[in-house]
Amino acid sequence: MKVRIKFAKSGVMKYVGHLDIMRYFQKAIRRSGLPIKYSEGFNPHQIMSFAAPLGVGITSEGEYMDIELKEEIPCREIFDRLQNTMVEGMDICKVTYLPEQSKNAMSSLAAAKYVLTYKHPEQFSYTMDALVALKNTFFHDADTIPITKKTKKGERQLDLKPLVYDFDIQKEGDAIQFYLFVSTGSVDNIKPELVLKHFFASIDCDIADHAFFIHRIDMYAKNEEGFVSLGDVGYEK
Amino acid sequence: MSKLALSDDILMQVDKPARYIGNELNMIKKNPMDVDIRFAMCFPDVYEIGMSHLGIQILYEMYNQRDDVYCERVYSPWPDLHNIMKEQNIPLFALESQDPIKDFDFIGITLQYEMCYTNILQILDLAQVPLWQRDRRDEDPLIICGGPCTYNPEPVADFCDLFYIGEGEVSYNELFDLYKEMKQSGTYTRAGFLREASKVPGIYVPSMYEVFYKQDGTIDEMKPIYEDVPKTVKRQVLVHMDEGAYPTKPLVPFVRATQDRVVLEIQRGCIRGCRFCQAGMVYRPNREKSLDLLKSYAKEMLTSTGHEEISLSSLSSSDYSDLPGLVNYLIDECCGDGVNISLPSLRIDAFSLDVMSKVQDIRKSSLTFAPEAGSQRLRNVINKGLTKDDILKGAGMAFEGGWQKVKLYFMLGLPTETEDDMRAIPELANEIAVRYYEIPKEQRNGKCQITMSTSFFVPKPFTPFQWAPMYEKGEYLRRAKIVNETMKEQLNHKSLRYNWHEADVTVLEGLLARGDRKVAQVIYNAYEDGCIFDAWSDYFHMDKWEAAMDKAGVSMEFYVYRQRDLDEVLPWDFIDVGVRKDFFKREWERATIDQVVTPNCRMQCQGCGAAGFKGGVCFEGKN
Repeated sequence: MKVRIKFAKSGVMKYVGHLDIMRYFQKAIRRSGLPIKYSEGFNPHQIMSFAAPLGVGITSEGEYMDIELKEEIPCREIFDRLQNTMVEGMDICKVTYLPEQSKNAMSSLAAAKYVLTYKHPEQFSYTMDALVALKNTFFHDADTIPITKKTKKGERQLDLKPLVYDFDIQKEGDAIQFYLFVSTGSVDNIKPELVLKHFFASIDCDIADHAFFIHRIDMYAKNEEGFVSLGDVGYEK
Repeated sequence: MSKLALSDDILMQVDKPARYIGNELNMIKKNPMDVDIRFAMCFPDVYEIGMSHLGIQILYEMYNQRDDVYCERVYSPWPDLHNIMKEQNIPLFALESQDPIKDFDFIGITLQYEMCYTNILQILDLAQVPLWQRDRRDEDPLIICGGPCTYNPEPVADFCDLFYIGEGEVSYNELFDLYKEMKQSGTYTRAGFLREASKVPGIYVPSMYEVFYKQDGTIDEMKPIYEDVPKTVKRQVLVHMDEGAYPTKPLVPFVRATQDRVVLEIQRGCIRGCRFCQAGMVYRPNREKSLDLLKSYAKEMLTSTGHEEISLSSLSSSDYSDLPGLVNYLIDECCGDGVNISLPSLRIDAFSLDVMSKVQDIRKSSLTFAPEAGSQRLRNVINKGLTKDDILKGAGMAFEGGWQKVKLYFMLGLPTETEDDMRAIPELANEIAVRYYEIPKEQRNGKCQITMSTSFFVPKPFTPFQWAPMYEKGEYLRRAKIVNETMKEQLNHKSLRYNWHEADVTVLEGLLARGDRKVAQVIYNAYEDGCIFDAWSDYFHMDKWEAAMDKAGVSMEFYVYRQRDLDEVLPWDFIDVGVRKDFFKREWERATIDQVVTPNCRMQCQGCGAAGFKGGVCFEGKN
């Protein structure tokens, strides 16, 4: 029985890297006593997979982990048993069962939504109006957004335009928020800070590493009707 | 969100920021306003090493059981963060509250190995506490050290206010009560507290003693400066092991710790009495925990942590009275469903092979023997009971059971060692390989692999070898070369591998292990010159240490290469570990003159003195 667990990572937990989060959940599942399935062999491991790694320093309210259970347990009970053994900054958001043939979160992942804010707003003097106007030039009015992406093997030319599904800028109190909806997954994985780096580069503003607080809002699969949240694929039991 | 001592900008710059955030599962949270004593427990090495240490987890549990104490943790910031903290003047903080530890009442530092001594200074320096004990004021925290290296505290005595000699379970309450009482009655001064604390059993306060030296540099006398300060400090022992606190909800780190598993301490002390081994002497008498208690701890700790592995901790697990009972319980009741048992180095016999075949992949795992010396003569000298016959029989059984890999551990530079003893190391390895190839070709699985490792022997205080000389680096390497050359002459040399330790660090360890108060200046000079993390070969700089010694006027000849006189006053003689000096002298003579083994504690009591603690193996079967 495939179960999808949606969780959030906040506060100090953002400094815990993906591999450590995987180990954290392996131990959490054992503490919860949930009847998870193990692989065969001399070193059996839990059948567990994550939608996409979350970089160190990034918070999220839309992370997904798929597991397989040996027997059916009500969603509410799975939720409680896991949530009771979480540390501060890790929260279970939703538990659903997946249809047996459905693809796991990792292979169905197509897009992710982020919100970014300045870590040091005092270093940026652009007004909201100026930013929105610049964004229209950079994104909405552009036919292509050619960039050079550094990869492990060297550099490659890439057009950002078809890979950025939406780009919006809003103001919340004094804070300027950059919303990005970008292609994510094994084929075209676009990091939101890469988009902003090129956005600011288009106005000759050089962005340092880690200049933004990044928060992942949700992750999506794509079907005939469009994007659907990975959390809406399954059903409650 | 919980507060953090380090800014996001810093955390994003350093390697493994999760080392510095606390928040681990089972972390104790208290409001610092609600307690009388704030204690920062420090392991002066990197987080992953420090978090693997059982002793700290025991004390963390024990202290925090008191409502009036909040014990938090501190580890050495890695050099990347160290530099940032120095540059930006950020005070070292505790993981739990993220508060600066300079405002705490105590900073407790565990001394597990000599090569962490510069890291003590790193901790004090980053904490913004004066490095020298004499420079501290009433408002500075009290620095208290414990752990195995405190059996010769003198090289670091001038950096510490107090040492706790022995097992923490016994005297800490008395010390805390004394401190609290003086604070609450308004009578607390650093000097006044230290004088009173020196009377608490097991507490050594270096500033309460003066050391007088002879012309030749050896110690003439070590004397208390006040009449009411005890002349000797007695090691504290938890006589009944079941009565001690145990962390049944241990901390589970996010960053993978070296010891990423449940650790079950099954006993303390060792019945064997290997003459080079400090732990085998200073943790006497051997005391076991009861089987029923261990069973319940095992279950509880697996449940509270979710670890996928459980391991046994002791000096010699094979000597635990009911090892089969314990191991079979763990296999039957705790293993399966993704939990496995990792076995410590057990004596290789039918039982251990049977157990290992159940819990390990035979093709991948290797057998470990620690003969420590290649020849039977030298094994008698060091009182290692293991014989060649034991090894060949054990290896033979294992080979027939499907194993192909054997690891062998030895020491070079042991007292009385000759070239014959060195050559005996690869010769023994070769005989093991011969035993493997006796198995018919169709029944074995290709080649065997016998790996020999040698470390260089370092004489430690409170052992029969405490008077022994060490050799210079070149001599150690010459000995390693003899082993290596002899290996190449062996019939089965293609099945043999050999690796040896660094010699530089060994010699320095020798200095720090048996030094006196004059050695403190060397450690200080080395730290000032940038030495930290000396236990990490990437960060170890022998040239800086040599300069530090020159500057302090401290010579290796005096502290390390010299055969010490049996009647010499040793820097650690003021400590009473329970095993008497005349026993060590007797054992030194049995080793070097008679060259005979001494029966272990269960076979026959040797009257070492540990029976004075009134418990453990000394009284087994006598109640």
